[in-house]
Amino acid sequence: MSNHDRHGSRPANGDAALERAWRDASDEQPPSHLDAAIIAAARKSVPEGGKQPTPAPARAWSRNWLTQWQPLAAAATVAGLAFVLVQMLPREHNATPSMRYEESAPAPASAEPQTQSSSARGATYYGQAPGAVGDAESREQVAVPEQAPSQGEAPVPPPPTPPATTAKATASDAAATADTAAALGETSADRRQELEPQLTGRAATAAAAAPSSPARERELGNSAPLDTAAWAARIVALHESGDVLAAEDALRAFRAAEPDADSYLPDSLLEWARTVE
Amino acid sequence: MISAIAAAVAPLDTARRMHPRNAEMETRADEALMRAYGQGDARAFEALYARHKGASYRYFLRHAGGDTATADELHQDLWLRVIGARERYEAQAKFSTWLFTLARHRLVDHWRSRHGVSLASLEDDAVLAQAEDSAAASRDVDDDPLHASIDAETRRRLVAALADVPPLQRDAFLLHIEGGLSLDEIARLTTTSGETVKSRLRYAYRRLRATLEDLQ
Repeated sequence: MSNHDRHGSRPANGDAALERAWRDASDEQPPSHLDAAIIAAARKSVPEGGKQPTPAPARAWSRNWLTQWQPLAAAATVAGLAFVLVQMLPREHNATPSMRYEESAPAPASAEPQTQSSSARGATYYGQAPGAVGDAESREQVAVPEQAPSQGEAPVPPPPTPPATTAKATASDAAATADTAAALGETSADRRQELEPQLTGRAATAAAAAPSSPARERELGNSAPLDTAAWAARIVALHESGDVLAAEDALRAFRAAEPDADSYLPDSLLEWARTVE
Repeated sequence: MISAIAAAVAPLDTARRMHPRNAEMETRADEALMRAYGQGDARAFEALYARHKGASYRYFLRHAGGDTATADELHQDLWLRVIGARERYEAQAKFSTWLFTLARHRLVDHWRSRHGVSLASLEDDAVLAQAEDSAAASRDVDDDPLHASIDAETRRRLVAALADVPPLQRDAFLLHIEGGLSLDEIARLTTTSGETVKSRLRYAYRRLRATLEDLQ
């Protein structure tokens, strides 16, 4: 102990004899190994050569590091969340048609597999996007009363088809509709009337797959050349769905591709077709 | 030549004591030494430690009722705290006041961890006395080899008498007689009034005097 302070400030009631006795008897010191350990720790805490740089800059650097990276980390987090949300949105769209398909598919599939297949192909043929299912269903509700009961074509949206599958379906559908077109071309109005229910059924399917605007119509018309029967079915579908402008556009496009386009139309549309220039 | 050879073969401690720089250290104030240590001068710490190690050690030893293991632990912790705080040290008070403030905090932590005595109950002498009694149950002051060279009976009586003094009075007594702190410094350290410290000291002196009447 530093005895230099011991005799400093004493209380007024200090007992000199007691303090003297205490000091004489109380001179314990810490063990030498403890001294050595403490001194070694003290030496270790200072660098060789005395002065050491204070760790304040290190702490400041640490703070700066945190300050610098916090906004980046926050931005990365926001970007990650946005990415996850974007990834989730299409899945929700995909989930809806597949569920509806599972709900409504079994009955018509067993009843009319051929028509069902044709209907599905028709939808695929028109390049229906998965997101257009809502429009297709609403239009189908309009077209349903005119469908022949024997057709049994349920408003079944096709499952999402990969591009390669769509191309195959388009080829096979073109072959199928070519038969119909040939039949239409070689027959009279009676034959046409026989085929009209089928045509009307296809029209309903086409209406389900019909684009919702003339612009979309033109776009599809440019990108996908149609045969005469498909043209006719499409025009009928558009007209019956109430989209007269799109039907007029389609008719004009049909006339551009086929000069005798009006002859492929059903009788119910001939009068209307004459009004379309 | 002879003196040079003698200096070369002299023990390290002797060489340090004879070093003029060490002599300078002995005359420097505690606060200057601590500042020098904070700037990287390990020798300044050695001088500081040599000055205060006995006082701090005895402070813990008396509070621990002579339990050297506890005193060793607390003493080492205290000085490691001093080492850790070397760059933050600011001479706003005497170094000894700062040192014994750290020592007292460490002691309170020890009481709280070992005996379940909280800081809030520090003022409760009865609680601390109970904690001290439990700690003193296993102590044997005569096991300390340092006791062998002095009057064992006098030391035993002193330690026993101080152990009977309530903790806060004992604390004031040790801060005063070992730490060399004044009444005001003890009052600031213990966050009490000067009158309270004075009363505690008076009571401790009275208790010790009554116990050690035969020493006079």
